[in-house]
Amino acid sequence: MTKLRKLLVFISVFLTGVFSAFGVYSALDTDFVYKIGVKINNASLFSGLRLGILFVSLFFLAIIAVIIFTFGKKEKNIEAIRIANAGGTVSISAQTIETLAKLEAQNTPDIYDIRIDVVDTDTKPVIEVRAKVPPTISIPSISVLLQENIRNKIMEATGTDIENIKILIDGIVDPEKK
Amino acid sequence: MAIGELATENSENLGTLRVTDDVIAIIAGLATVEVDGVYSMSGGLTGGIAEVLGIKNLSKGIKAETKENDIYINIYIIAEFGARIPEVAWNIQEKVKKTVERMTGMRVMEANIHVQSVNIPKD
Repeated sequence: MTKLRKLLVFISVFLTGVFSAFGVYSALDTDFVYKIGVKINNASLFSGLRLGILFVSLFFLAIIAVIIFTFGKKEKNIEAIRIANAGGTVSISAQTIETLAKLEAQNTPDIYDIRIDVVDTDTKPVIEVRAKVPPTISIPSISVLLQENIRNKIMEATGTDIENIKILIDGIVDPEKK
Repeated sequence: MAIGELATENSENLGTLRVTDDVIAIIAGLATVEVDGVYSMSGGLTGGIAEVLGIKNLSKGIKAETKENDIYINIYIIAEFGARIPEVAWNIQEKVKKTVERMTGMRVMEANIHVQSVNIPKD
């Protein structure tokens, strides 16, 4: 993924350079832009020139879409836990922790619409859980249960104690509708 | 492509043995998938594309590097749900080290395990 990112950064810089050069040249020689405009205007609908412009525009749009998709996507393979042993190191990604935590949260009763993030991965991983609950339950009790369940599950799977599990209840749901 | 070179230890000097990093990666990959608790190798974007195209990549999820006669291996896996990751990682390290050292005669200095995700059973 890093290589792909580097390639996309290179393409972005290249395209910016091309457009900038075109912009500067257009400012210096307005006739140049005018002549191109006239040519396009005079070209027939299915001419090579118009199709060429269409193709180049779609190509640029596709590149921009790929760039946005790649850069906009959250990097999930960041390392959350690192354990050193005699054979080398064992690193566990944030995605792994999130999956384990989410499954455990889903098995906890009265917890709905669960979203999990692992943050502060430079020091000790912190798990942030956002969820919705039904209107009849005690939120502190269910939060303690949820924290204990997630902590135990991650301890069981990774051997690492997660000391900080933040719970944010951000909505109330009707369990019957769910 | 880096190539590990190991002088043969015969009394007569018959030449040298050379093993490419790709070969080491394939040996490590085959050893890794045999360990309980490993669902699959995690090959990233290129590995995924190759798989979609039907190209079998036996070194998927393995990065092997040779420095003189020492081997450093990074192994990227997807663990099975319910597996105890430190135990699985240790088993992989032991198995890879043993297999690679037996087959190449070179030393595995580090086998670093990277657990990229866990596989969730569909049931």
